[in-house]
Amino acid sequence: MKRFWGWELATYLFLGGLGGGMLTFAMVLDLIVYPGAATSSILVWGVFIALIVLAVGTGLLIFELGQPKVFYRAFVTRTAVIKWGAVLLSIAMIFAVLFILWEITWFSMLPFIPYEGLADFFLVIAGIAGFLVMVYTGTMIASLKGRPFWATPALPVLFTVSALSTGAALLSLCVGAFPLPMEWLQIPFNTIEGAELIEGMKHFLHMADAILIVLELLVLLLYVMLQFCASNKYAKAIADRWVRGSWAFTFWGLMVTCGLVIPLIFNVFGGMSPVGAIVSPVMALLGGWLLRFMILWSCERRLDNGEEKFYTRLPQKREPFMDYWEEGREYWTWVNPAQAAAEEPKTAAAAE
Amino acid sequence: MTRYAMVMDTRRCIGCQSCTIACRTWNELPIDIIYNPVVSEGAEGTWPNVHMNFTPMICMHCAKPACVPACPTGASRQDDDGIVWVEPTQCMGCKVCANACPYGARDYTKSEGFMRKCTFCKDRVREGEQPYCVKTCHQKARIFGDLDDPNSEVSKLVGKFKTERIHEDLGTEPQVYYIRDLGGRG
Repeated sequence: MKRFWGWELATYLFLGGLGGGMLTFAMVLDLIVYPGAATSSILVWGVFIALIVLAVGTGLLIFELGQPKVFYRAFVTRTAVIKWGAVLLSIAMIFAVLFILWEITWFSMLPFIPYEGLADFFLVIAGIAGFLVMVYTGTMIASLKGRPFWATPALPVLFTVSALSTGAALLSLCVGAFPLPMEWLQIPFNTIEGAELIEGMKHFLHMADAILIVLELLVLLLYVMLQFCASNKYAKAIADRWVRGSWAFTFWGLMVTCGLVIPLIFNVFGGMSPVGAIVSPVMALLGGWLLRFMILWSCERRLDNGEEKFYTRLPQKREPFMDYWEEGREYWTWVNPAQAAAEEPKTAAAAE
Repeated sequence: MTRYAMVMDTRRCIGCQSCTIACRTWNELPIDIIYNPVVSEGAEGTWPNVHMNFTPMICMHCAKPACVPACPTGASRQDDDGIVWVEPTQCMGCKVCANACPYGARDYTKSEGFMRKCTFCKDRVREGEQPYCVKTCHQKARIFGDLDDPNSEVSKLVGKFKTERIHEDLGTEPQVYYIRDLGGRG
């Protein structure tokens, strides 16, 4: 059976969730946890990375289209899930750009003076849109009711929790970093108060990540095990592959152990050491990416009446006969290429 | 009103795949796209009463299609007579409809870049002819017609025989009816 979406879409689902999660956490940190002027300038680099992540994801999405020239038509209809995803992605990216512009110095030198609290307002819009992007990546997949492994209400939850956890992981790597000259920021944060804020934020993101990884572990195991135990036979066949079939090592070994359990252990016991601060987030990120791949590769639809037999008998890749067919050669040259090659010079000589 | 529908009399189908080939010819399909495969689970029954059971597949042209609302571009659409089709110039090739369809009725090749699907040969049907697969079927296993017309062969068959539809539980209300019962000839 054909799989229509490949690595581009899996990566996009991951990056969209990741960027959305980062924006959500940036909003939460800026408004609720550490309200204050210095917080937003510490978060500028994180928002910038989130913007890059979303832009790369969107680029992959457009690159993956069959006819990228008409991609603007994604905004045409009113109700399609993808349309809302496109709108939310655009809003999140536009307002992330505005937030960054309002935080850096050379923009405020322009003749008009931006309103003081506007940067926070932009971050709120970007954060809400980012949150919805995160939910949407799961909703888009879960709304496809023809695919038994996807069409469950729990998939958006799984994707949201995973996106939040990866978002917290990458934001914790970005917080406090600003590779550009500090003078570019309206409120530089290379002060003692700034360092304290950064420490606090990193600690907050670590705690949040640990809680979210536990949640994700719970949601993921519930999702797969319930598909395995209690759902219809089509989804069960796929869950069987995850739990004890050909993907068992990928699922239990890479996804659950290396992507969730070990990052959790490093996170909790590693504290702010390099293992806890760098290795754990990176492993969590790779685990999130793998999750999107595994979900997207579980795309089998309901195959009844011997459809599966039919599709497995079709050529699974580009077979050599395709080349012969496209060159318009005789049938017997497909079935006996050796003989055809032997007679090739003769026919060429005869033509002369 | 017109509501086009198809009845598959699987008692008559011999699995010759003529409809598959006819469809490819009429619609000039790329080599890796098949609109209407004839699938089979193999032999059924116990010796000596065994028979092959074939299921001709096609786009179900559902009354409540899953693919049309999924399409973000509006290229996927359903006409008043129930025919679901894709406008190639408006399709951006996001392939969400192919994933939404529970029947695998939509297909895509990278070289073309837009989604393809069975149109019930709407170019022929609108001129009063039968779809090409129906016209080709020498067993008369595929029967096409207007379900809203009480005198059409389709509505008579649907009224007379016990019919089933594939994946009816998904609520898409497919408009292709399968007559499975072998009527004791098994």
